This record gives sequence, C-alpha cells and structure tokens, in this order.
Amino acid sequence: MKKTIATMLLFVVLLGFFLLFNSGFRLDSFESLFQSFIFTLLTLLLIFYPWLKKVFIIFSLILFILMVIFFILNFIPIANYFGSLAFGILIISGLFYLPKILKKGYI
Amino acid sequence: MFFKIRRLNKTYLVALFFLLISSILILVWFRDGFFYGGGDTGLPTYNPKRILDITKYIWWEAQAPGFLIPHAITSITLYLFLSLLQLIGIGTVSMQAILFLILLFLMGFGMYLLILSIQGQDKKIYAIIGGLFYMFNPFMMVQIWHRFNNTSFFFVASLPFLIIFWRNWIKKGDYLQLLFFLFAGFLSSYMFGTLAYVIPFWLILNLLSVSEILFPWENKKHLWKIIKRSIFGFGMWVIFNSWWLIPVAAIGSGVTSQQHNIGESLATLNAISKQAILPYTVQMINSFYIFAQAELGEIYKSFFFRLIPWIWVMVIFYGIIRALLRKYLAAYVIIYVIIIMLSKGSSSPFGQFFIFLFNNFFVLGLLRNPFEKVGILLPLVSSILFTIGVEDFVKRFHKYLGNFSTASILIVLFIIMGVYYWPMYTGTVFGTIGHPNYNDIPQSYKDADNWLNKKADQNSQADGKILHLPLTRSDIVTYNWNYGYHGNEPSALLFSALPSISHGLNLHRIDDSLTALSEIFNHPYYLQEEKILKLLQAFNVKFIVLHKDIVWKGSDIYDPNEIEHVLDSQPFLERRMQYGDLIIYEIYTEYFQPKVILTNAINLVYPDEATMRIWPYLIGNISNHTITPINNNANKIIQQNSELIVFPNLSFTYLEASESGMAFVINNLALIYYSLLGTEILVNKEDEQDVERQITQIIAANEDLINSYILMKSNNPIQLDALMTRYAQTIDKLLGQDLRKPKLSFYVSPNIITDIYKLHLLILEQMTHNLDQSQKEIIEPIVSKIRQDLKSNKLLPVYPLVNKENLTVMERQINQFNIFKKEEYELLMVNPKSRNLYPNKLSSLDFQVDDKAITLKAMNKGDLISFGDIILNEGLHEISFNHLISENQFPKFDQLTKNGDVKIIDQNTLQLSSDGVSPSFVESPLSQIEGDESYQISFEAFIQSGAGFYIQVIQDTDSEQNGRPNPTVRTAIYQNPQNNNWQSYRIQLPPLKMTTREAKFRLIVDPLGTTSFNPPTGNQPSVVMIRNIQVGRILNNSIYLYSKPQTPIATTAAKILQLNKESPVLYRGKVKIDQPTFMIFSEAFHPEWELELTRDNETYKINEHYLGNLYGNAWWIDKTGEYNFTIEFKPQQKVELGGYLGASGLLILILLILRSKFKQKHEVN
Repeated sequence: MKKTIATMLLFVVLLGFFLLFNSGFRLDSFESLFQSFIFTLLTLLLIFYPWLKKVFIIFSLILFILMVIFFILNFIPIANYFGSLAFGILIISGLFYLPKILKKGYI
Repeated sequence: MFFKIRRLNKTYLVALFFLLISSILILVWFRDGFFYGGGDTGLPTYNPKRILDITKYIWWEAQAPGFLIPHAITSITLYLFLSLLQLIGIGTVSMQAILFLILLFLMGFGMYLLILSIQGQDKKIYAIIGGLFYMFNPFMMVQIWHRFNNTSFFFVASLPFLIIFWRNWIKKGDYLQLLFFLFAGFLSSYMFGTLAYVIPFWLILNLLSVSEILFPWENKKHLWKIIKRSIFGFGMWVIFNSWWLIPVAAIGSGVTSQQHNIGESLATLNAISKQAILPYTVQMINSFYIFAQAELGEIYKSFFFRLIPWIWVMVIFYGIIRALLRKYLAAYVIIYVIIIMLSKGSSSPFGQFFIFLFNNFFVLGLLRNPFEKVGILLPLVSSILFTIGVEDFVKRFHKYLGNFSTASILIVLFIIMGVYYWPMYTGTVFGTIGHPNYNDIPQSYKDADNWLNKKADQNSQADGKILHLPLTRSDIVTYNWNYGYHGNEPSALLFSALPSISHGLNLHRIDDSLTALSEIFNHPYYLQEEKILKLLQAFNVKFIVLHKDIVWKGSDIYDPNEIEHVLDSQPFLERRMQYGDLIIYEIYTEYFQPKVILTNAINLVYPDEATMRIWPYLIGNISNHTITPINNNANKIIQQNSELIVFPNLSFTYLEASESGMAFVINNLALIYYSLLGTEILVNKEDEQDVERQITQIIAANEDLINSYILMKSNNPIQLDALMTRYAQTIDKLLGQDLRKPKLSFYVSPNIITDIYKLHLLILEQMTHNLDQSQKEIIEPIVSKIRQDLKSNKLLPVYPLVNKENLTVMERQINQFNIFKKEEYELLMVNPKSRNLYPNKLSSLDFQVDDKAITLKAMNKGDLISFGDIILNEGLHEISFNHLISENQFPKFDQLTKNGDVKIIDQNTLQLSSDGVSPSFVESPLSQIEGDESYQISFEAFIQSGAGFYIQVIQDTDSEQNGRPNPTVRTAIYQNPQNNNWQSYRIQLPPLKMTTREAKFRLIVDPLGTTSFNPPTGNQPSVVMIRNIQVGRILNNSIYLYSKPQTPIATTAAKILQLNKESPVLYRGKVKIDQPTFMIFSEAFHPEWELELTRDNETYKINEHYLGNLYGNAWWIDKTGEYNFTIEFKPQQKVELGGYLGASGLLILILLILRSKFKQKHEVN
C-alpha cells in the first residue's frame, strides 16, 4: 500500500516537473500534455526497472526515424512532434546511464 | 627522428590539402573580380586603414555627429592586419580573398588538429574528413557564409585552435598553452564584436572543463586541479581582454539595457525558436533561409534535397552511439545534447527550461536567437561525432565488404552530401540566386574622396563635416551602382577627409535633429536660405555631397534632383565639382562655423525628451543657437535666453462622446471586433496559443459590452446583470495583463488596445447614467481600472472636456506642456497651407487651456499658424483642440479617374465590380499635401459578392514593383458574414510619409491583389456598392509655445584663441572670457564629454552641461579670464586602462612561464 502511494506521489511530482519544463504548466495543449505524461510514465518505469533504458533508447531511435520520414514528406509539425518526443525520451533514458559514464567514462 | 620528420611532412601535406581546397573556393568566389558586402555588415574590407582609424576610439567621430560604440574596438586586431596588407598595396578584392582564404584554411586545418588531439594522432584520415565536414555543413553554408556575419567567420575559424590550447592548459597546466590560448583569442578578438559570442565561447570551454572533471570521475584532487586551472584561465582571459571588456562593461551594458527589454526579447526568442525546432536543429539547417525564403534556390525544398541532410545526421547519430562506448569520448555526446537543447531555444521538448534561464539571467537576453548564437557550436561537436561515426562505419563494414566497397560507399555518400553545398562551389552562397552581393564602387567615389582630401589638407586645422544628401534617417540605403548596393550607409567609410553626416544613428535625440537636416532642403522649407545656412552652421558642415545615384523612392528620403535645384540656388554654397553622379558643394569660408564656438545669443528650447520633428529654427524669429536643459534642470540658465520655445511633454488623442454619439462609438468597437476575429484566425494558424487566448478574451469582452449596452437600451435587466458580470470578469483579467507588450503586440497593435480601452470607458461612463446601484457596483471598479490604465500610460487628459454642448463625438489632441517660467506665450501650429481645406479657412479654432474653453483667431506667420498669446503660469498645462475634419476631399463622380468595371448608380452611389481577375478602381488626387497628413474616410458599403475591397492612398514616394506603386497607406474592408447588407464605416488611415508631396485616394476591388498589392482573396467575382463617401484631412497639426525675448540679445564677450584636435576624443585650446558665456561643441551630446578649464595650475571642471542645438554639447561657463581648456570624452581612458591591465597580465604570464621552465630545469638537474 505504502509503495503504491509512494509511486502515485512520485508520479504526481514527476508530472508536475515535466509539465513545468515542457509546457510551463499550460494545460490547453493536448500534444504538450501527452508528451509530459509519456515522459513521466517512462521516468517512473525507469526508476523501478532501470534495465528498460536500452529499450527506450531503441524506441526513441524509432521515433527519430519517423521524424525523418515525416520531414521528408513535408509534414513538419508531425516530424517535430516525433522528434521532440524522441529527444525527450533519449535524454531521460540517457540520464540513467549517467552514473556509469561518471564512473567509467563510457557505457 | 625519421618518424618525426615523416609526421611533420604528413601534417605539412594535410595543411597543403586544406590550403588547396580553400584556394579553389576562393578562386571561384572571386572569379569576377568583385568583393562582397552590403547588408548589415556594409563594406568591412573596403578601406581597412580608415576603419582602423575609426574603431580605435570608442567614440566614432567619423560617423557624424558622432556616437558611442564601445564593443567595435574589438576589431582593431583585424583592421591592423588588413591595414598592413593595404600598406603593401594589396587591393580591396585581393584583401578580402586573402582574409577568406585564411579563415577557410583555419576552419579545416584547425578542426583536423582538434580531432587529432581528441581522438589520437593515428586518426589522420578521419581528422581530414572531420575538417572537411567542419568546412562544409549547412550551418557554415547558411549561417556563416550566406548570412555574411563577419564576426562569426572569426568565431568558427578560431574556435578549434582555442579549444586545443584550452584543453592542453587544463589537462597539463602548461602556462605556455595558456599564453597560446590568450594570444589566439587576441588575434581573433574581432569575433566579440558580436558580444553574444562570449556566451557560446565560454559555454564550450566550461563544458570541456566539466567533462575533464567528471567523465570519468577521478578524485577530488583532480577536481580542484581542473577548477583552479579553469578559474585562473578565465581570470587571465578577463585581464588580457580588459582593453575591450572594461569599456563594454562600463558603458555597453547601459546601451544594451536601453535597446532590449525582457518582454520583447522573449517574444523574439519564441518566434525564432519556431524556426529552430528539433528536425531543423539536428540537421543544422536554418529553415528561414533554406525553406521560407529559399534564398539559395527552390531546389532545397525538393524531396531529394530534403533527404540529403539526413545522411550526415544518421552518421552523427551513429557516431553518438559509438562515442558512448568509448572512454573519453562519451563526454562529447553529452556536450552535443546540451548544445542541441540550447540551440533550439524554447521549442519542444523542455523548452520552458530555456525560458526560465532567459527570464532569470539578463545576460542571456543576448541569446534571443539561440540557433545563431549557441548553434554556432554545433558544427564543431558534430564534426567530432561525424568522424567517430565514419571511423566505426569503416571498421565494421570493411570486414564484410572489403576496403574497396567500403571506400566506394563512403565516396558516393560524400558526393551526395557534397551536392548540398553546391552554392559554396559556385560562389552563389553570397546573396540570393541571380543577385550576388558583389560590390563595384564607382570610380566617382574615389575621385570625390581624393578631391575632398586635397581640400582638407589645404586647411591645416581640418575642421568641418561632410553632409551627404539626400539624408536618410535610417541606417540603410540603396544605391544603383553596377550590381547595386543595399545595406549600411557606407559614406563615412568611402569619404575619409572629414566626418560624414550620412544617416540616422538610432538615437532619438540625434535623429530628431537629423530629420531637420534632411527636410530643410525640400518643400516647404527650401526657400528660407537663412535657416538652411543656420542649420548647416549648427552641424559644422563644410562640404555637401549630393548622391544622385541613390534609390530614393520607397524610403524616407527626398528626390535628389529636387535637392540639386535648391543647393544650386543657395548664395552661401559653391558648386565645386561633379564626379559621375556625385556633386560636391562647399560652404564659403565666411559662412563656415567652427566646431567649437562661444556665444551668449541663445534660445532656450525644452523639454529634452520631447519629439521635436520640426527644428526650432523654423519657428524661431531669431536664429540663435539653442540650449536645452537635460532632465529639466534649467534653473541656472532660465534668465539667459532670448527666446523660449516649449514643446509638449506629451501629445496624444482622446475621444469624447455624448449619448447621441454612442452609435458611432459602438460601431467603432464593432469594427475592431470584426478585425480581431480575422486576427484570431491568423493566430490560430500560427499556433500562438497564448496570443489566441488573449485575443479571444478581448473579443469576448467587446461582444459582452456591446450586448450589455443593447440590453440596457432595451430594458432587459435580468440578462444585463449576468452579461455585465461576465464582462467585468473578462476585462478585469485583461487589465491584469499588459496587453501592449509582446507577443500580443506583434498581432494587435498597442494603439488598438488603447482604442479598445478608450471606447470601453466611453460606453461604460454612458451606461452608468442608466444603471441602478447594484449594476453600477459591477462596472465602477472596471471604469476605475481602465482610467488607471490610461493614466499610467499617459493617455488620459488631466482636464475633462468643458464645452460639451452639442457634442456627439469628438476626438481631441491633448498637449501637455511643462512651463518653467510665467510668461506670455504665443500659440503656434505648423502647416498653414492646410487651413485652406477647413471651413472658413480655419479663421479661428476652439482650444481648451486647462479647464477653460477659448476661441483663438488664426493668422499665418511664415511657416506657421499663430493663434495669438496666452499667459501661462509655471507648472503643468494642458492645451487641447478638436481634431476637425476638413471639407470633403472626394470629388464628384464625374471628376474621378475610373478603371475597369465602374458604374455610377446614382448621385451618391458607386458600384465597383471585378470578374475575379481584372481589378476595378476609382482614384482622385488629394490636395495641399505637405507630408505627414492623416485622413479620415467615412462611407457606407454593401459587399454583394466577393471578399471585399481596399482603400489606399498612392503617394509619389511609394516604391514601385513592375511599374506599379506599392502603397504603404492602405486598409482592407472585408465582408462581414454576420451582416450582409449596407454597413457604415468611419476609418482613420495611417499618416502619409513626411516626404510625400503628391497623393491620390483610391478605392479598389482587386481579388488577385496584382494592382493593389493586397493578399489575394481568390479569383471570385466581386461586386461592391459604396455610397456617401467622405474623405477628410484630420487637423492633427503639431502645436508649440513661443515666448518673445524679454531682454535684448547679449553680445558675446569671449573668444577662442586657439584650438587643437589631438584626437577624436580630445581637444585642447585657449579661451578668453570677459563675461559668462556658453561654449558649444558640435559633436553629439554625451554626458561623459567633459570640459575643463585650467589656469595657474588650477583645473575647474564645468558641470553645467546642456544639449546644444538639440544634438550637441553646450556648457555654461560662469568664469572670466584667460584659460586653457580641454574637451575630452573620458570613457576612452578606460580603453587605455584596459590596455595596461592586459599588458600586465601578459607580463605575469610570461613570468609564470619562465618560473615553470626554471623549475623544470632545476628538477632535471
């Protein structure tokens, strides 16, 4: 029970953090809200299951490929959406590699 | 030994390779024998010696009447080098070619060396690839070469070397490396001419220092060692660069804060960040130039060219993955991510973090264009990661494919990537397709400059200035030279004999005075020879150069042919020479006025912050010099004047309306409402959600207020209460925000916001007469808040309108005067010719002086209308008059010029039709045009089909496209979907240009916009009926107060015995003063110009410093006797102080190097 409450609390804190830095707490943009929600969910998953970071990096690379495809087809807003989502995921997942990089200088 | 020689040879060969590549590019770029310039960089390599002479002082005298530009001093190292080239006889084109060759070579070779130092000395071939990638990438092509921002050339060329030396310093602690770092920074100090480059410069160096500490973490000792070295290195850099850092920090910060505010910066940041979204940033592409403007060709929008950049992005991303797996290289991935995050500014993801930094650290306000300022680091880090990607690709693939196939694939990929940089190989990277930025300065300029130099040399004490006419008040000019020229006005550079008055300086006070100098040679002032002379004398003008090669239409300047006639007829001017399109005039010696004079015959003109668009000489009866107290400090000189000329502190319009005028008020608010509906759609398309929310609220408030008024009129109290409550809540929210600031102000002008508040206030004040107490309680706080808003924006009159009989609607021009001295003042108004347009030729006009209504008779007095004398006490006074509308300027229909399908339906009604392609219009000339007029048009229109029609004023000064004038004064009338019937309109058009002398009024239906230059509305047939057209000039002429001399003009009892100009910032001389006097120094005012008198080893600083002749310096000297005097611009001493500090820093460093060498030797022994 305690763990569930702690998880919920963590979720709220993380969501607040991402809402602040991703959209400045602006709640009228669905894209931005969705992005913040995804970032929160992935961060939470990574906290509990750090081994997922490699999966998420691969996922972000797939999103980057989508960005490229949409860009070439001249769907710039969609390309930007996938690109920024991918970049956000890459940064979040990358942060979980930081201790290893600090320790060894590489991953 | 053999190994070392071989390695040296190889490095030598690599250097030769980069030199060869650079040379080929240079040969292509300069194949036509022209140099490049124009735009905001002007002609940076035209005459380096001249530029060096100018830039070694932070006060630029050559750009007369002089201005302060502290950071330009960073360019002296570059111009010292270029001056040496000039000295040995190298021409302008060759000089620019040599400079570009060196820069290109340093880019490629520097990157090669940096990659070797990072990845190892055995990676030569990859380092060469990295060097080539650094030279050829989209950022370099567009942001550096195409933008032609010369400071960025130096940044990208020097950065690899600076990083090599910095890394060596922090890793090894070798002082020699620090000395190299500082010395390389000194040689490339020109890059800090763009102050913002200090930020990316130290960002990358600090990121490298942090990487050295953290990746991988070693121990605390290592941490402190790197921190100490970094701080010491930074400290030495500050000391070494104090020759430019001190003046910039001491003076420049004030200038920067005046030029920018955080709101505007934030709005710019958000706008630019939209062009730097992630898909563009990772490609290093500036979408504005490549896609929106397509300046390098439409081909870049094609599928193939959209695809190409992803090749190197993929290689960089592959390099990122591989770098993460290699020790010491993972740090570059983190640096890359940080730079990408900062370069994309406020765009997604995590864009708010950048805004947070931007809002909380003022210095980051310099990063309003983060893609340009931080993105400049992207090519460097990308080159490193690209090299890693290529290296790993080769290693992996040659196992499976063999060397040949791998190399073949790589070569094919490189060729495809290379295609992207085609404009760099052909030289079309400079300028736009078909319009290279070539500069071919006519020989006539050199001949004219030579002649002027000879004339100046004849005068041992070169005094005087060159006035270039027509005089633009902006700093941009267009000349019709071979290949044309459009960019910074270059006369100060092209004419080296004397300082040049050639353009506005973007300083309000100076530009106001230059406006007078621009106008005085033209209608209606050109007949007043005495005042022209006085103005030339006040500006210390010796020569006039008339540029008949200037493209004047469409800008703020006058026809040079008109000016030529005026100059030819002036008795104090001699037409001396003509070289091509340049004509040189000289002021006869007896009329020339030196730069420093003593006088007691002065006019007191104030306030200094007023907009004085008309030079006071035009209204003064006695053409004395003018003295203006700064910050209203006039106590000491108030008795010295012979004339008093008082301008309004504030001048604004205010609408008054009675209940019978409410229909007009509601209609005006409705027009704004419809216009905002269109803006809301536009904003929605541009995805500006904050702005859209604000506009929606404004629309809702307007709608609720109009409906509340209608409900009140129809006695529906229940619905009214609810609506008014909702209105009060909405407008309260709006009043809590500052709607006149960006971003909203980009879409809705602050004047519109003010108009909305004024109209709301009028409606609410009328409503209060008809509401019960509870309803009044809802709106009274709102009335109070709106009044407070208008008051705080200085848009609310102090005195309400007193004479309200028969008032329906009336707009007043309110003028607030701060009177220093109780006096009888003559009330003067400009533009007497306009009287002819008004009923009874404006024989009298109703004024309200404070709270008293008076009618004053008008009388022409030279270039002014005099309304007689009024007595005003000391203190604030408000003088207002009604914005009268002239008699109808729209003629009878049979006198109209008609074009296309125009039908006269009846005496009052016109019908304009279009088949959807051909335009139809009617035109009629406007009379008595003097420039700067405003018009009001009222009519009724019924748009039967099509989107609408346009109202335009075609001016003789409008620029032309395809032989058609492109009007700047125009407005659109679009069909109102909610009311497809006759509708009434009353519209105030923006003012005409000051230079306009002829104008035509036009009503036009033009669905495709080809003739009207309006946006096309689709090729649908249009039919518009218009009736009861009234076009009236608005009486909005400026007014001033004038007081006759109370005392006879004092004779000047002082004499300058000697004057020596030691430098542009230091003048020394001798003066003999028999009675207190003013000293006027004809150089632009700055509080740090100081006058000191010396006698018998005692020095007196003169503190009474005023504005002389509305732009220069004047001091009140209340001492008598014979003195030595010094006029000095003191901040230049800060440069000297910085120089000494830098030299001492260098000395310390050399001592440290010697100490460490001695220690090493001692340890070996």
